[in-house]
Amino acid sequence: MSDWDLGRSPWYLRYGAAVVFVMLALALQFLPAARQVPFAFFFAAVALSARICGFGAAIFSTILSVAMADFFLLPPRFSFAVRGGDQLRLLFFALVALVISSLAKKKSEADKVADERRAQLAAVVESSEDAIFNKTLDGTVLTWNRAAQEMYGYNQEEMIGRNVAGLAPPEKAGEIAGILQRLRRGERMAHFETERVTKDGRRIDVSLSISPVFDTEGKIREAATIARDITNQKKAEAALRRAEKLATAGELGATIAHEMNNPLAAVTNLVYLIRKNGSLDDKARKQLELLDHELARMAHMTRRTLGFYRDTSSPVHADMRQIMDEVLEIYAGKLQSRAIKVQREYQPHSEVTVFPGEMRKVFSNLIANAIDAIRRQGTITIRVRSSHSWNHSALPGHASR
Amino acid sequence: MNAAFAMPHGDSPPPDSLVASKNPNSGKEERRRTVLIVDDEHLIADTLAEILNDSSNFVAVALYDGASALEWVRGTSIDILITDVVMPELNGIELAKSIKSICPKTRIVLLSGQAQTRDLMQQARHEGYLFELWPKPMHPDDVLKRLKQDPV
Repeated sequence: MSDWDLGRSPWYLRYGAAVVFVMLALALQFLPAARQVPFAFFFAAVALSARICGFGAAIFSTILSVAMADFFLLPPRFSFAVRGGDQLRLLFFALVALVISSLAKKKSEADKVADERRAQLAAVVESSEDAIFNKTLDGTVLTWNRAAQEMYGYNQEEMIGRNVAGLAPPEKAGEIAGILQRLRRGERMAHFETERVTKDGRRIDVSLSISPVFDTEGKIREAATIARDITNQKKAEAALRRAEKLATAGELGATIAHEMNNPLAAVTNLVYLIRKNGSLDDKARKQLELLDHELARMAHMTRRTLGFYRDTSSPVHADMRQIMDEVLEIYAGKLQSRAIKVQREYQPHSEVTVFPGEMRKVFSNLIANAIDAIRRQGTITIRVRSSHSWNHSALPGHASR
Repeated sequence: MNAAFAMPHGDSPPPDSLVASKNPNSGKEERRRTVLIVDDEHLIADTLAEILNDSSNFVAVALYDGASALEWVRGTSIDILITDVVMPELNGIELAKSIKSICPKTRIVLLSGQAQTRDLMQQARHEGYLFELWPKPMHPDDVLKRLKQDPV
């Protein structure tokens, strides 16, 4: 109703408008048909003034109407003198006009409050970081806020009137029908985690809170959905799980390596003693040499596996290039089988004070991720250089197809 | 005493005393250094002792727990102690500390393939002990080479 409200305009506009309404009423009052109802149009003028120009202007138009009616309409005409019976009629008119004014004022105030509240709510919805939209019980979108546009990529024109089923990925097509059915039964769903597809085809993880909206009669007419993009949260959780898995695997590997070290030491010693035995022929000697060589490889492997887990309780001076090479050695087989090349761009002076075991875990994670990202054939470029700026050394390398 | 003597190979007679044995193969009056090997894994201790005894530079004895080792050292002085770190009851580092107090000139070598060793070593270093830590398994050639060199 703000279009028809001069409540906040300057006083001369409001009072000017009141004068115009009263003059119009006076002019209409001269119509022959209006003779029978001398005040009818003045009531309209007062009501209009109250509605549009405010309470003060309504009082003013009431007084003006009384004066105009007295001067122009009531006998004796063109005089302010009033006969006994007309005095009562004028008084009655003035009272009714006052009641109209105050009712109109109250109504317009209530409207104003309601408007403001609606605007506030709209602003909250609009500025929300969560996507908020309303839909009918068959899934037709009714409202679509800014965050919903950003999250799903569809703007209001594209979405309003369309069915929300279009947002679900193909394998979850039945999910929306299920949600709508539950809504019709009056159920609400809180933090329902699922997947949705954006306009550009991206899949996002969302947490949905959906509740039925009841009308004044208590019937469910529509439903409100609050959707939150939890893709990054999910990714972080997965990364954490992966890191935990890796740590567990590292610990397990270390435990096995420990267990292997003792028998390995005994066998290495035994092979040494057998080789010293002079009664062996050349072939046996050669085979023992191979055996010795393989044992050395095994020892090397257990030491590498332990390196992942074994760590000091305080940081030590270590060469990042060496740590990186050790990690790459672990992944050598995987890299080879996937035809992934590793390009090392190491700069000298890369000694830092670190926990080598922790660094190995970090690099191992990065390299494992890079391998997963490439899948097959490609190059992982690893740069090691010293820097004092965190911005430039945030990542030690990058993967490229 | 719960000790197994690993006899030197070949024709050389077993040493009657670990302290005063001489290298029978060399013409010089070079004393064979005495080594005490402690490992709860009998096979490792036994084979390492045999390897050292074969080498003609050392006379080695294998024992399987810290308590026996301490008892041995009270009766006979040794040049080198090679001990496993992680053992039931008395661990290698505690054993090494005790032996160092009985026989301060003893060279101590700790063998370990275990994760917690470095922290134990660091703790010992804070207490003023400098022990050598060798990885386990270590090739016998390397063991002999390192034992012939001076401690780092």
